[in-house]
Order: sequence, then structure tokens, then C-alpha cells
Amino acid sequence: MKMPTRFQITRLAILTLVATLLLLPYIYMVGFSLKPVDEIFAGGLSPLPREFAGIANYLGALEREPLLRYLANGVIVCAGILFFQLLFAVPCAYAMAKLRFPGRSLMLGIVLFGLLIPIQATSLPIYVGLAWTGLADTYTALIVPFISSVFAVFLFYQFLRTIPDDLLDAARLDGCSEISIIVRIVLPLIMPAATAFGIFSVVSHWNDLFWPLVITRSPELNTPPLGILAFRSEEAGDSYGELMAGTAIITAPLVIAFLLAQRRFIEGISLGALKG
Amino acid sequence: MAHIQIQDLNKSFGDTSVLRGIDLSIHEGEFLAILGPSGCGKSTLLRIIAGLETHDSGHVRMGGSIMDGLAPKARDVAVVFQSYALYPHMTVAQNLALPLVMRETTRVQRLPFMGHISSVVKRKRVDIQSAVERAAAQVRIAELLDRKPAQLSGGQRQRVALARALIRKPKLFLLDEPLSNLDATLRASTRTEIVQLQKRLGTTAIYVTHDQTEAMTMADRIAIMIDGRVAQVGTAREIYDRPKDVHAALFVGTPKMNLFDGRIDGGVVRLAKTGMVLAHTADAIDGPIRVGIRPEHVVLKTEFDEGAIPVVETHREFLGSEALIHFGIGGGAPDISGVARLDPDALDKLAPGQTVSACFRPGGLHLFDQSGLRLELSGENLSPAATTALSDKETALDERPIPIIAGI
Ligand SMILES: Nc1ncnc2c1ncn2[C@@H]1O[C@H](COP(=O)(O)OP(=O)(O)O)[C@@H](O)[C@H]1O
Ligand SMILES: [Mg+2]
Repeated sequence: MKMPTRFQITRLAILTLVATLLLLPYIYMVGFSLKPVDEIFAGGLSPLPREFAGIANYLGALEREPLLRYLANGVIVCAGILFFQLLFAVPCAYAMAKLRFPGRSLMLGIVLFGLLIPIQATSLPIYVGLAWTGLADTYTALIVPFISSVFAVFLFYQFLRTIPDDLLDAARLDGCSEISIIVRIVLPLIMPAATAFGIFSVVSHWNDLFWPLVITRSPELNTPPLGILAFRSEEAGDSYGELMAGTAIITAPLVIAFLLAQRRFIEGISLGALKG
Repeated sequence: MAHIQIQDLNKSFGDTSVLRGIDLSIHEGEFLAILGPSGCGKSTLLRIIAGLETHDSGHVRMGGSIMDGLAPKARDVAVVFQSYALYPHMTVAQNLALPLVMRETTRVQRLPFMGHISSVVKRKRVDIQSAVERAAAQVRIAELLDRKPAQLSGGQRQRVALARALIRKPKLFLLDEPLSNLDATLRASTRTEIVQLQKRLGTTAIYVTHDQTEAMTMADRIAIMIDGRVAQVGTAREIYDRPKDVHAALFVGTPKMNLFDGRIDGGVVRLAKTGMVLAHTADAIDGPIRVGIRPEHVVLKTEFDEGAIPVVETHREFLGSEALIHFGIGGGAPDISGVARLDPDALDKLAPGQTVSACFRPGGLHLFDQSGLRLELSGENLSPAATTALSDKETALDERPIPIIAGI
């Protein structure tokens, strides 16, 4: 085996240190979720439990709050949002990048402008609108404000511009309608970008506390972050083990999803549509 | 297979007028090359014929019916793009199958599970599969069917693009500089292959290129396109021998035709700068003209006969099967320059920098008026001044007839 150079060793050391620092809270969270309460309060720096209370903590967490329901809510909301975002953003980006029509540059300007507006700025009118239509405190209310994503349009627009026009013209001659072009040519080609966007979208909406807090009241609609909030306020103080177990359960799907899609994610943010 | 007629076609992008009154007629089964410099509007014309671009006025007819406004897929036209435009995420087999899948199956039949449910769909899929194999065999890519385009060489991609065009047996092939991304050897062999394929299928083809060798070797007829207009349509021979227009004359032939400013007065064709006599004509048209002579029609000799023009060699090129001598005319006015093509052996008889006499072969003179159009003076009237000297073969430097198309 070749000996690693000094540069490689240094680089590895620095990366390990930074990664550990970033992961430390997560490691302690998982560690605490495995410890009994008195051991947590006894202090001590080791994240490893001396006495294993993992099963009790996790079962307790699941019993105390309907965590699986919160997870299901998270999945419904994130899947709904992502589905509509892709449904609207891909054809929109395709039209702006590849079709010629009057008002195209104005539309692009509006999209760019939209990138600058934070959700907090528009939340009040949206809230009022939803309340007026009687949709507040429903799944629809959790999903609808996010179904058109200017960020997605912009990302796909940039990506689609790297697809040569000849390719789309060839598809038109081969008998594809514009819809077939999107489904058969554009979608497969922008898959890496769609995956990257999907991760951004799911992470931000899974972790979003602001909008669910504003628009929902019923506990059955709690999304994962609201679930943690509910968990903590009820039993403040003595059940840190269970609280950590609950947090671990709620963050686990994201971590697993990222690990599974990691390679595509990195492809998506570093490549154009056409390789080589 | 169809007869194509293009009638007074105009197209502008904003303020720039790209096509200006194109009239063109292509016979059934013909291989027509559109030859012109880059930017002259060839691709735009092709895209309009394919229906990928709209035109401002005029008509495109195919087999008698007007195509204007018809969507590309309704025209039954196949295009081979310069970039090949293969779908990068599909295998070669899928690339070839797509035109058939989209045309011969309905939206419902295309659903993935339909092959298991419906026997009609199953049979169609088998048919498409065998059509793909046949098309692949025609361009000899049968062993590549499972590869993605990224795993193919340039020549192989080019073949896949051809196969995808011919698989659905279109009425018309449109090829937009399909060989320009290949290396020289491959280009020469693919040229022949494309022509043979087209003749075997009998499908009308329009082939766009800026390469005169491609156009001259492949096409039944050539349309020279200059600056959005068709300057001349004809066989390679017709265009080379009797260019209708000074641009067509300059665009075809390597090296370029020599072009001198000249004038006619009182039946005498002269060089404008030196007044040297080139020819006599009985047609009484006086005024400034331009005189063109192809390099192989210039004859250099060491002896000065009456009427011959003294020229000084400025530069020589040895090209193996031929040699080029660049010369300046007249001792006092070396700003007129030209080039002569001769037998390489003749180079030895000529010392560098020597003053020799130049005359031209009978019929080698092309006259153009000030607007660039060919002046038709009848052959009898246009008698070269130095013809008599030419019969004296012994002293001519250039004795061997030279092939008209240079091997490039
Ligand atoms: N979509 C377009 N918009 C504006 N100008 C164009 C467009 N397509 C082509 N042109 C212009 O039309 C002219 C002819 O282009 P093209 O047909 O591609 O020429 P060629 O294929 O002969 O090289 C060029 O000057 C080009 O800039
Ligand atoms: Mg072109």
C-alpha cells in the first residue's frame, strides 16, 4: 500500500475535526436518547451510555406522543409540496428556457424578483386568504403556499438552457408533442437537478416550524417540528431521554433519505444536464 | 419520396433579412446539395422546410401540397443534425425506436404495462424491435444497440443519427452539415456511404454544406446559396464551367477563380489597369466588366508570343499532383495578382522570380458585369487574343490536362 502523504494526513485530520464539531450535537442527541434520565443529569462527557435505556426511551417517546402520525404528516406535506412544485416548475422552466413567446423576459424578471421575497413577507395575506376560504388548519393549508417555487423554476431554467435546441427539434420531428418532450426528454435529463431540488425542498419543509405553527391548531396536523415542540412543552424537565429519542426519530428519515440520495444530490448541484 | 417546391420564400429575424426570395425545385428521388458560406441562411432554409421555423412569406410544397404552417411531425421529414442530437439518456436502440413508438402507437398503448395486456401492443413492439435491428444493420451499428450515445465515437454517433432518420421511411431527408464533425478520412468514406444509402432508398434528400467537395462529389445538383439568395442551381459541372454569377464562380473551385477588373471598348476586352488585350468580341457592349479565369486555364510559357501577357512569379506551391504559381501582372503594376495551376514537372522549367508570358485556354474566360451577373457573349465572338500561341505546344509549361476537382 502507498503511504499517505503529509498533505493527505493533514487534510484528513482537518476534515475529521470539522465533521466531528458539526456532528457533535447529533451524536449527543443519539447518546442521550440511549441513557436513563439520572445518567443524563449526572453529567459526564461520554456520549456512550453506562446503563442502556434506549428501548425504554424510544418506546416511551412513541407512547407519549403520536410521533409516527407526525412523521406521516411530514411525509404527506413534503410529498405534496414536492409533487406540485415539480408539476408546475418543470413545464414553466421548459417554456421559459426553450419556447419563444411574447413576455418571456418579463416572466423571467418576475421569477428572479420572486427569489428575493421571503415567506414571512407573504405569510399574512396567505393566512388571511386561507382563513377566508375556510382552508386554514388543513393539509391543504400546509401545502398550497409552497406549490409554486420560483427557486425550482430558476434552477430548472438554468439547467434546461444547457440542453441543445437540436435535441428538442429532433424530438419534435420524431413525433413528440411538447408534453411528450417534457416527459420523455426533459424530465430524464434534469433528473439530477430535480433530485437536488427535491432534497432542498424536503429538508426545508420537513424542518419548517414557522408556517405550520401559523396555520395549524389541531394536534392531528402536527408536522415533525411541531411534534417536538408539543413533546417538550408537555413534559418539561424530567424526560430528556425520551425527548432525545423523539428528536432522533423525527430527524432520522431525513438523514436516511440524504444518505440514500447522496450521490445524485452531488451530481445535481455540480453538473449540467449533459455530461461529456 | 416527393417533389419539393420552394417558392419565393422570405424570412427575417427582426431586422436582419436571412432568406430573400428563395426559389428552388427538387425532383423526386434527387440528391440536392445547398452549398454556401456559413451564415448565408442554409440551416434556416432547412429548418423552414422541416417546419421547425416559420417563414414570413412564400410557400413550401411537398408532392404538390402546401406545407406552410404544418407542424414538423405532420410533414414526414427526417433531419440529420450537425450535432447529431441523439437523446443522451437513451440507448441506441431506444433512440432508433422513438420515432416509431411516437408515430405508430397511441398514448395508451405506450404505457409500460400495455405490452403484457394487449396482444396488439405486443405485436407492435416486436415490429418496432425488428425495424430497429434492420435500420441498425443498414448503417452497420447492430452491435452498438445497447450503448448510450456517450459511449460512441463521432463516426458511430453519426451513423446512429442516420439510422434514426431513415427508420421511419420519411418522404424527405434533410441533412445539415452531417459530416463536419468527422475527421477527413472518415468524412470521405461516409460521403460515399450516404449517397449509396440515399440512392438505394430512393428518398429525396436535401444536403446542406459549406464544403464544395462534399457538394460536388455527393449531389445530383447543387444550389449555390449566397447571402440569402440562390445564386445558381445546376450540376457540379454546369456550375464550375459556366458560373452564372461572380459569387458562385468564386465559391466553387480551389484555388479560387482569378478575377480581374476589365473593360470592353469597341469589341476589345482589356485588363482595366494595364490595358492589355485579353480577347475580342463582336458584341458591341462597352463598359467596365470583371474577368474571371480559373487557375488551370492560365497557361504560362517562357516564350513571348504576340498578345501574351508578361507576368512575374511571386510565390509557388507544390501540392504533389499539381503545382500553383502565384504571379503579378505587368512590371509596372504588380498590384494585379493571379494564380495558375500547372503540372508539378513544369515547376523545374521555371526559375523563381522569372518573368514569363501568360495566356489562357480557349473558352477559359468568364465575363461578369458590374452587378456580378455572367455576361453571355457568344463563343464565336469571344475569341482569345492568344489562341494561336497555344497551338505551339512544345513551349507551354503546362502540358497535362488537370482534373477539375482537386482531391481534397
Ligand atoms: N433564431 C435566430 N434568431 C436570430 N437570428 C438567427 C436565428 N437563426 C439564425 N439567425 C441568423 O440567420 C443567419 C443565417 O443563419 P443560418 O441559417 O444558421 O446560416 P448557415 O446555416 O448558412 O450558416 C445568421 O446570420 C444567423 O445569425
Ligand atoms: Mg448552419
